[in-house]
Amino acid sequence: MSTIAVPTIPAAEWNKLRAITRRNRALSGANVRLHWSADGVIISAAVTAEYTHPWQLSCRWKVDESIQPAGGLWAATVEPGFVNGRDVFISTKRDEQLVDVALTDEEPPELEIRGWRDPTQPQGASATLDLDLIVQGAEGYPPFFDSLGVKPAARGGKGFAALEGESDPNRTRQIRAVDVVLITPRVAARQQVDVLNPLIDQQAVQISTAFSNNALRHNPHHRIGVFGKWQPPQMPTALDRLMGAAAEPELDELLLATIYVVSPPDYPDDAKPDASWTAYPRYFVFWNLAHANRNQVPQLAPKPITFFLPLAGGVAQPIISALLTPVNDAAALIYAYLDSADFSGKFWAPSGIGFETTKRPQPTTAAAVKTGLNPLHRRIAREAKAAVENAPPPLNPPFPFRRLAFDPWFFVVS
Amino acid sequence: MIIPQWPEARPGQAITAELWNLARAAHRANQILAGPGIRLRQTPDGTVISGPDAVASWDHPFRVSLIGDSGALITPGFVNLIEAEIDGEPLSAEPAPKLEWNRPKLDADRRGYIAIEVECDEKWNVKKTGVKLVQVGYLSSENGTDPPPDDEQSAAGGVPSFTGRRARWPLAMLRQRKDGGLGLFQITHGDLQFRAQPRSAKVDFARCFFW
Repeated sequence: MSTIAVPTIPAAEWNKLRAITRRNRALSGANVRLHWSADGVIISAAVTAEYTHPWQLSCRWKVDESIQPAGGLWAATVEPGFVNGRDVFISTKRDEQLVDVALTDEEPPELEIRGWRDPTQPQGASATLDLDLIVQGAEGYPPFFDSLGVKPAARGGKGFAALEGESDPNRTRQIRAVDVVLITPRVAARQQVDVLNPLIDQQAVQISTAFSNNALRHNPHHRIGVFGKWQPPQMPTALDRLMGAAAEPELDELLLATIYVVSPPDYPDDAKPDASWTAYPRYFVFWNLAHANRNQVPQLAPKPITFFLPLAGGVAQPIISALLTPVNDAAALIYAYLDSADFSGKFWAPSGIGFETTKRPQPTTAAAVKTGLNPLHRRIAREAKAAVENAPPPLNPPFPFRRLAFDPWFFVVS
Repeated sequence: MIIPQWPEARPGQAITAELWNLARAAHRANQILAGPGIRLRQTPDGTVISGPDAVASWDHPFRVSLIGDSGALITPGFVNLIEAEIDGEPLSAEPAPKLEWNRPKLDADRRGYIAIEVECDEKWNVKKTGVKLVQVGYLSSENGTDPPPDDEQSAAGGVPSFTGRRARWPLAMLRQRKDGGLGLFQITHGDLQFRAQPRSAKVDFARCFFW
C-alpha cells in the first residue's frame, strides 16, 4: 500500500494569509461608497466633484459655555462669493462690537445659527365649524434624508392623525433646518397719495412717486443672513399700484442654501441640535452673482384738465370742478398704474456654466467591470448597476452646477 | 449582508473542505470591483484605485494664476466672442502674455482687481480689439487707481461706464494679507456677454451688463 504525502500548512502560515486578506479589506473612507457582494466589493465615488464653489458652507459645532444648556451653537463659514465683483459681508462681533466682516477677510466671519425649524412639523392647523381639525402638511425635506432614516414629515389632512407622519421604527432621526440668504440693499420706489382741494385743483387725489434709499444709506453692503424660515420680500401687486399704495421693499434677497442638521437615531421630537447632530447644507446658488434693478423711473404725471370760467362771479365754477374732479382722479389712478416706478432687482450668474436642472443622466457604471458571456461578470455588472440605481438621490446637483441665467427682458436690454 | 471572513486556524487543525471554502469565499468577497467614477489598474503588486478627476482646478476661461506678487497669467477668454488681450497680445498667443505690475494697485482696504475693460464704438458694440486686461484698485473709478467719489455699489446695480465708452468686469479679486502677500479670489469662471443700456444712443454713459 502506497502512502500519500499530505502537505502540511502550519497554522501560523494560514493565519498569516488570513491577516493579509484582512489587511486588504476595503473600508469606506471619505467620499467613497462600498457595496459588498459575495463576488467582491464595488467601490463607487460618492462625490464626483470636489470643486469648492462660491457660497459653499462649512458647518461646525462651536463650543461656547456661556450658552446653556447646549454648551455651544452651530456656526458656518461661507466660501467667498461676490456680487457685481464686490465683497459680501457677515455681521460679526469683533471686540464686543457688531461689525460687517468681508467673506474674503483673513479671519473669515462666521454665521451663528439660531432659530432652527422642524420641517417635519405641520405648517398650521385650523378647525372647521363642525370642529374637524384641518392640518396643513409639513414643509418636508429632500428625499436624500429618507435614506438617512429621518422621521417622516406630517402628511396633513383631517384629524389628529394628520399631525404625525407615517410611523416607521427604522426612521427615528430628527431633522432641523435654517435658510441662508443673500441680502442686497437697493433704491425703492413708493407711491404716495396727496389729497387736493377739488374746488381749487379740480382733482381730489394725486398719486406721486417717492424714492427711498434708507437701506442703502444705512448699510450699503451685500450681506448674508440666517433665517429660521425665509420668505421672499413681497413686491407690490397690480392692485397696490392701481390704488397708489405700492411700496417696494428696499432689499432684494436670494436664498443661497438651506442647512439641515440630522440627529442620531431615537432622539425626541423636541430635541435641540447639539454637537451630536450632523449638518448637511443644500445649495441653490453655486456661482458668483451680478445684481441690477429695473431702474424704471416714472415720467412726470400729466397735468389735470382744468377749466376756469370767470363768469357770473364764479357761480358755475363749483359745478365745473365737480364734473372734472372724478375725471382727473380716474386719470391719476390709471397713470399711476401704467407708469409706476419699478426698481425691483434681479440676480444672475455671469459666465456661470452648468445645467439648469438637477435631473441629469447618471454617470455610467464603471467600464472596468467586464460583461460578455461570463455569468459571474454579468452578475457583478448587474449588482453594480443596482447599487447605482438604489443609491439615494444626491442632496446637491453634480458638477457643473446649475446657474442663474441672465434675463435681458427683465432689464429691457436690446 | 454578512461579509465572509477568512477563518482562523488552530495548530494541528485539519484543512477541511469546509474551512477551505470559507477561506475561498472570504477571498472572493474581498475582491475589489470598480463602481461609478472609480478606475482600477491591477498590477502584480496590488490594485491602483483612481477616483474621479478633481475639478478644483479646471482650466476655465479667464482663470487667473498669480506669478509671485508681481504679475498674473490668465487663460484665454472672450467677451462677445472677441478675445481679451494684454498689451495687444491675445491671451491665446504663444508664449502666453503676462499681466505685470511693479506694485499692485489696491484700494484703501487692500483690495484690488484683475479685470477686463471693454471699449465700445459709437453704437455701444465692443470694438474688435476692445477687450483688454487691466489691474485696478477700484472697479468704479475712471483710471482704476484714484478712489471714486462713491465706491459703494451703484444704486441701480449693473456696471457703470466710463469716458470713452468703457466698462470693467472683475475676473479676480486680489487681497493683500497682513504679511504683505497677495491672496487671489476667482470671480469669473467663463466667457462673457456684454450689453450696454444707454439712456439714449447719443449719450456716452450707460449702465452695462455682463453675463
